[in-house]
Amino acid sequence: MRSEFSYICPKSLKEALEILTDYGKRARVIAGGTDLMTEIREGKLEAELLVDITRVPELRFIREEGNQTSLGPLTTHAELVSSMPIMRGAPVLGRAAHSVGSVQIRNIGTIGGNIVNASPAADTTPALVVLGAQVVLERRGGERTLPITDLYLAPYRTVIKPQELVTKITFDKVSNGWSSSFIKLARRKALAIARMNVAVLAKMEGKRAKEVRISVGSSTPTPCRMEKAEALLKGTVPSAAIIEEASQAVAQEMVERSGVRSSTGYKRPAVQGLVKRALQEVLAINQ
Amino acid sequence: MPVQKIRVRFRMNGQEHEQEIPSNITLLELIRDELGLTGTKEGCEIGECGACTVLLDGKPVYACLILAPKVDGREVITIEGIGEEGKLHPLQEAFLTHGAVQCGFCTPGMLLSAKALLDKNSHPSREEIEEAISGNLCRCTGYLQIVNAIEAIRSGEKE
Repeated sequence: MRSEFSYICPKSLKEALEILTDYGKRARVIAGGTDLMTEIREGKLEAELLVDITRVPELRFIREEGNQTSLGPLTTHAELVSSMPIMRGAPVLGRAAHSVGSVQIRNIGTIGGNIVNASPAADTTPALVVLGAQVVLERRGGERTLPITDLYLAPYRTVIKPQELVTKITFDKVSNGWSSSFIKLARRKALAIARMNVAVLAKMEGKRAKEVRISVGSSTPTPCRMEKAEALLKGTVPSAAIIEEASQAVAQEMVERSGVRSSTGYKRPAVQGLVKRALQEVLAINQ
Repeated sequence: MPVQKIRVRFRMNGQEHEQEIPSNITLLELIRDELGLTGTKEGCEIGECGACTVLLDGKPVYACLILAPKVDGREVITIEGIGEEGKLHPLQEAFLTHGAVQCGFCTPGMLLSAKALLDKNSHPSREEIEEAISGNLCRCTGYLQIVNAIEAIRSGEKE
């Protein structure tokens, strides 16, 4: 039985926030709908009112402000891929967006939707985590800003209140001296949900790695940085041996955070291999 | 709670439409069931097979993943909207010439993905063609003939 609901399409942010305040839990927000449509079809969407925010002009932008890039939540994956500010200032996010679904999905699915749906397999999330993205949540009469990692409670659960809307995502540009990698492991190239994905950013100072940031998707209960491995790499002159050690540390940290599960047997070597490849790429170590 | 009826106005295949539709149907159902245009195919219904691909404001999308009320004020092109009465679109001709149609179920979606690519890039590389149709599954051809057909259009080959 399909979900039944009324539908409203607010034309301004003010109007959208008013509606969300009035309806609270009785409303659900829809943007691209690529995730929500399957819920609707299966009758799992329980809301009186579906609030379609895609005509809210304040939520659709890509801006460069000084050293920062900010995105409206309605930015589609296709728009990220074809955006110069993103490909220049945050290529790791561009590559992550490019790995999402297929052309048809990227044309519709939004970055805001990818964030709030909180799927552990979301492709843009590890990229936003290594970028240190901040997410602005607005409600009628107020707003708060959270680091992206503070948004998540558990798979598919966030701290976002029914009255709140993601209105902006910001991060520092990482162009000068930074290199990045995003690698996705999936059953096939297109139309595949990530079995695992890795985002890595590194800044070199001479021959030394000044800073390395690593995040692995689909492997921890909530998105996070792999701090032990990052600490191992920081300040070193990268070598095959250190990369090997750091990759093992990531696999270890994943098991510590997630516990030993039925999938650990194959995930441990997989995460190790992916991180190794990503680190080799950003630190320019060939093996 | 009863399903709300929504009035939508949109352009489909060059014609203006105004329609009362239930709030919870998909664009695919609007096209096939409300308007009776059955060239757009229903495959997986979850945005994985590409059979329902249509162009929304010129961009390929899965009609099964679009909530129908969202088409208000927008333009949709389905397979019925390419080519003319009695005259195939060059892409359709190329698909026939190159044996790119077998069972035909993926064909409408495949053609629209190809059209969207050629509309914005008249000389795509083979890789770009492969990527453009990577959201459309075909279980018959092995894709080679489809890529060849699109490539033939690119290079202006007629036969």
